[in-house]
Amino acid sequence: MGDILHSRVARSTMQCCHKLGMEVGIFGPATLLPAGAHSFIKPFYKYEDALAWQPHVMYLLRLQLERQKANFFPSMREYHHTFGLSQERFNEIEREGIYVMHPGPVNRGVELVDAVMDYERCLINTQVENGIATRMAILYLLHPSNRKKEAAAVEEHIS
Amino acid sequence: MTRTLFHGGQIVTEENRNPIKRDILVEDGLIIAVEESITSVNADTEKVDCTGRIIVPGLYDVHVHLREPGREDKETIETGAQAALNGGVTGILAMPNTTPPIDNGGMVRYVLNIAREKAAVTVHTTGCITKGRAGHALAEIGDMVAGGAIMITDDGDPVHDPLVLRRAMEYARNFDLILGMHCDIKELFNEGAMNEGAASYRLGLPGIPTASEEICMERDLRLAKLTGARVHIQHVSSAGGVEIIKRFKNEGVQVTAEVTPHHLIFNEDDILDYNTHYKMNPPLRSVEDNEKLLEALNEGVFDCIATDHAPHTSFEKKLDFCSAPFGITGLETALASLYDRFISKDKLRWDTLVRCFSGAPRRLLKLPSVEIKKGNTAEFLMFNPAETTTASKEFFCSKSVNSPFFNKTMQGLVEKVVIGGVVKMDRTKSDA
Repeated sequence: MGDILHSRVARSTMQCCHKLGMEVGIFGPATLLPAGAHSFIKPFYKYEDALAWQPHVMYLLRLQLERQKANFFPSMREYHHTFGLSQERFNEIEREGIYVMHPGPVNRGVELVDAVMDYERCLINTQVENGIATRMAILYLLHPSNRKKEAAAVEEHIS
Repeated sequence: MTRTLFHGGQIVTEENRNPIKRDILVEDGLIIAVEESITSVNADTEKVDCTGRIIVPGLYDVHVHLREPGREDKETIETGAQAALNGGVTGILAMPNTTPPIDNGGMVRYVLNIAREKAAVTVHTTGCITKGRAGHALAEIGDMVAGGAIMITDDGDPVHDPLVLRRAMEYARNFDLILGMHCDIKELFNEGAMNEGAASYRLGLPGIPTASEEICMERDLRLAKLTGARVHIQHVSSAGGVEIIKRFKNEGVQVTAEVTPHHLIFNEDDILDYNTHYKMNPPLRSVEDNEKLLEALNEGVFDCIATDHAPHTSFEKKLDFCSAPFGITGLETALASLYDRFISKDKLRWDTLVRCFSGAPRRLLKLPSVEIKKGNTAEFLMFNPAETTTASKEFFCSKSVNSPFFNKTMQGLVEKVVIGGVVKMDRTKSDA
């Protein structure tokens, strides 16, 4: 949900989700929905339609605030009410038990209201935690000396 | 429970080429029967004799300037609605080029609140595409839709920057909203006052080429094709414009278009005495354009007849031709003028008029139908083809009289208007 057009997160995550057998839909300002998206992606132009599709997860995207100047949407206020998780929308999400994700950092009051952050099915903090561990692991493995050490450890483990 | 029987009249519909004899029984505002002859009615049923009258479903004008707020000396929502009623127009769509413009949800709500309190007919409003109609930043379109706006347009001006227009067209998809396009190229339009051609040269007035309309229309429709937007081309004035619309319709682009009575009836040669009641934007074109526009209306290229009712004070219209503002009033003369010039001469059929001036405009805006059939609200007018309309100062309900029909007489008269089963306007009574 949100700026699909400029989001690298969306581009790779959508393909990953598809590979894992999930159905993928997108919703956001039509100015920020890509015309050339993969055919497996279902576009929605209205929040109500996206909700009626009964998703298990809502994955919000960070809004780059300068997009407003480029006329992708008229104002933060309207973005929040039309494309974000307002309090009313969140109440419904909580009732339905839909998981909420976001790659962070979050613009509070734009993509979502604060209350979402404390929701038990909000995975955003877990995403951040996992993101740090994953990045640390990758950096660790990319260092040549560590690579040798790891290889030795693996060999040892196998033998 | 109140019952009224409208008997002896002929109704016009989209399905029948010619008027057909029908009696209409109305109960508490709703049509409960439409039959060739209804005779068995209760004794307390009120009867309205419609013999010799044509009963037309309430007209809807998708292009009206109500001037409120900002220029209440020219028109108000109340007087504009009164003018509509006077012409048998039971629904109107207000343009947003007021002062300040209708470019946010608050303004939309303000206008609709006044309309609810004071308007004699149904008033809807458009909202601007861009803030302040300035063509730079998108207006809060979602908030205007939430407030009740049913079309967006910067009418009076095109959206100059094609990137802004592209974004607006894309963004409108989120609200399934139609965009009204005023087509001209500012730089080509320049200081023009009338159509560019032999007549403008003869009069020594600066001209506006049809290319100004055509180029902008072409641009707008190519963008509509790119974005999948629904667009409505306002007040088409030229044969070239007709060809462009036809082409894009054939390509499957979601385009509708309107034509005004004045562009069908008048042309540049009518300006020969510098009468500013013939000055409007887009300007009157040539006699060939008149013919082509009428042909296009009859062929179904045009979806709507709209008046572009644009009131201005007499003081302003008395300025010289170049200085006077663009625009004429139209709500009150539209039907009589079309009957006088075309329908009575078999150049336009009633079914086409009903489709383009009542049915299609409401479908375009997703409004309920007022077709004369069982179950619908009773909203229609009685037109007397045997009487005449003289567009005198006394005749007009509008605050302004800037009409090319001013003090002229036309065959045919809107005699009564019924809304919700109630006779809201009755000229036979005021005359008595």
